[in-house]
Amino acid sequence: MFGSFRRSMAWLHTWSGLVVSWLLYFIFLTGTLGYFDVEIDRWMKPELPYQGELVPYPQAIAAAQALLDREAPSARQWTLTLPETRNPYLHVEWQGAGGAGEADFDLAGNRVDTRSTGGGQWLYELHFRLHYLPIELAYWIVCIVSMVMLVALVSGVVVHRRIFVEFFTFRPGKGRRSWLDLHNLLSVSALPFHLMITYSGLLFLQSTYMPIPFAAEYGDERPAYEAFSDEFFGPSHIEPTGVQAPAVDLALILDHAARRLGEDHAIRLVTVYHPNDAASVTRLIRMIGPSVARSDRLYYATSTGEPLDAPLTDGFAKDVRMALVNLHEGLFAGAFLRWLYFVSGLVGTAMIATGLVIWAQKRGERKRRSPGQIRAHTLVERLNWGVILGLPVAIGVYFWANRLLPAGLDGRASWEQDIFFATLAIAAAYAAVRRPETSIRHLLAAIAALFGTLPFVCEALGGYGLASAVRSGDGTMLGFNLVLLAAATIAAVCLLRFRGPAPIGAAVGAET
Amino acid sequence: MASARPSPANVLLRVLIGGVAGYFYASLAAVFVASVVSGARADRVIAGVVLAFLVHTAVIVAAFAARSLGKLAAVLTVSAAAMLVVVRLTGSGLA
Repeated sequence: MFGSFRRSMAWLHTWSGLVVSWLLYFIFLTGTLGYFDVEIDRWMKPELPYQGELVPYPQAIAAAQALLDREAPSARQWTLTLPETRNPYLHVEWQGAGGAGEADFDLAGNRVDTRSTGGGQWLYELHFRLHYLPIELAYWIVCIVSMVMLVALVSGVVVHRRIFVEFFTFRPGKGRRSWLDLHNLLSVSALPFHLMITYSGLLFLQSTYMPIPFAAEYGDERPAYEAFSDEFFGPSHIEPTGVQAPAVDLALILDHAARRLGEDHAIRLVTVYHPNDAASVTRLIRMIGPSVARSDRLYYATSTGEPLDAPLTDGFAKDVRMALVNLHEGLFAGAFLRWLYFVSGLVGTAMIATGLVIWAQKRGERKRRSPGQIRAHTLVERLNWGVILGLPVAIGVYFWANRLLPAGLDGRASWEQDIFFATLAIAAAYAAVRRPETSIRHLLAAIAALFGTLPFVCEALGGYGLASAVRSGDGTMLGFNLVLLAAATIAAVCLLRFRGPAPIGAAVGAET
Repeated sequence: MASARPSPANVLLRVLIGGVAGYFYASLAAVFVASVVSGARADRVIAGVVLAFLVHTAVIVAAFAARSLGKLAAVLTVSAAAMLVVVRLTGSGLA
């Protein structure tokens, strides 16, 4: 297009990255927080008592089943998230015509009344479900953005052909040149992660983005993806018979599964489809073990407790797909690898943010621009900062809202979520009307204040603060509070070192 | 020497070829792969879809790298027709 492949790719890299960059930044940051969704969930439910060890929990299962039988006997689905080292509580949810609900239990089987909150799960789900949008539309938007990201990454590899040199190059204090070095460094250092996370993200939403192959193979037997899903993952689309048949004790099914698998605590998720119906099926999903290409599922008839034979598809493509999506989710990761995921995600987020800054600086250096172009550029540059810094502010306010909103407030979780988006909108609007050097300072100060004070004041606002984490030896909550303090420190250091926008023309050298 | 900056119409055309035509081309490629590889039905579909994302990326890159959009369109059309013939011969649902 520009006479040379590399120049064409440079153009494609710049524009493909730019047009979806705000949403990409949002997706990357919220997705990155998702690697600690369970820990954030815990922090946002301070009513849950600290439990240091994972002990047998049959009473908890029995108590949960009794609650589900009482509250939602004819639900479409019960879901039990079993205790594990990261989250030693039993969490149950139900969905059906009578509505949805959830409850938490400690390992002794006592129900714990927790505040209603979106928690870390909501933050994590934001990166693919977005918010305020129909789910299918959100999936489509995320798919298109992911595809554009993949194109930006591939074209970026072509543009930055001196990858090894760029990995070791950073020249601070040189305006746009420094931002470019930083962008290259961030891009190259976690390039395999960026490629994996983007490509596997597309595979997650394969049926939304590529429905034609499913329809071509499965025709219109029934919704094509349902037919595929039952073949690929095992039966989950169960037709109820209407004949009542009480469920057996779920603990018995779990016992049987433990004997089949030869280990305790091997199951992470139990789903009961149409409980108390004669056709009811219980699906157990195993913890991801030594192979990331596997995600074992066991099936039982809920009314008899008999194991079911689910003829699942086996094959190379399935293994590739499962390996990639498991790599994306990182559920198999231990503490070290989980932190590596988190840092890589932050690197990706920073890569997108630095790309935005570079684009704005490059456009700002253009001499021949109409007044309209100058106004538009100014607005985009300001909004860039509104999004880059406004999102962490919104996350901080979301955490604060979790502690400050009354526990009994109707629709409390929705209030938290609305406050999150209202904060983001206010931050963006504030950045749009103020000069960047002012809005950047104020937003950085807001981040430092929001995150820096929370570990100390939340003791009085429900618990799980820094002091109680130290006292109880709760390493997870200690880590969470230290991350809050680290975020505040980074914002404070940026604030102290910030000397206003880079001088125009400070950049030299290669363009992207 | 650098070429002139492309016109908006040229860019739009490349977006349409890469984004929209490339999308249908990639979907067809997925159906084609699913129809020629062996194995269980669900596994074949997944094999096609896994490759289709790469095909779509490649078509987008080609659309913005190609000097002649006519030649690119011709290559895509001929290869799509060839894939359709194979899909039809193998009796996939699409055919």
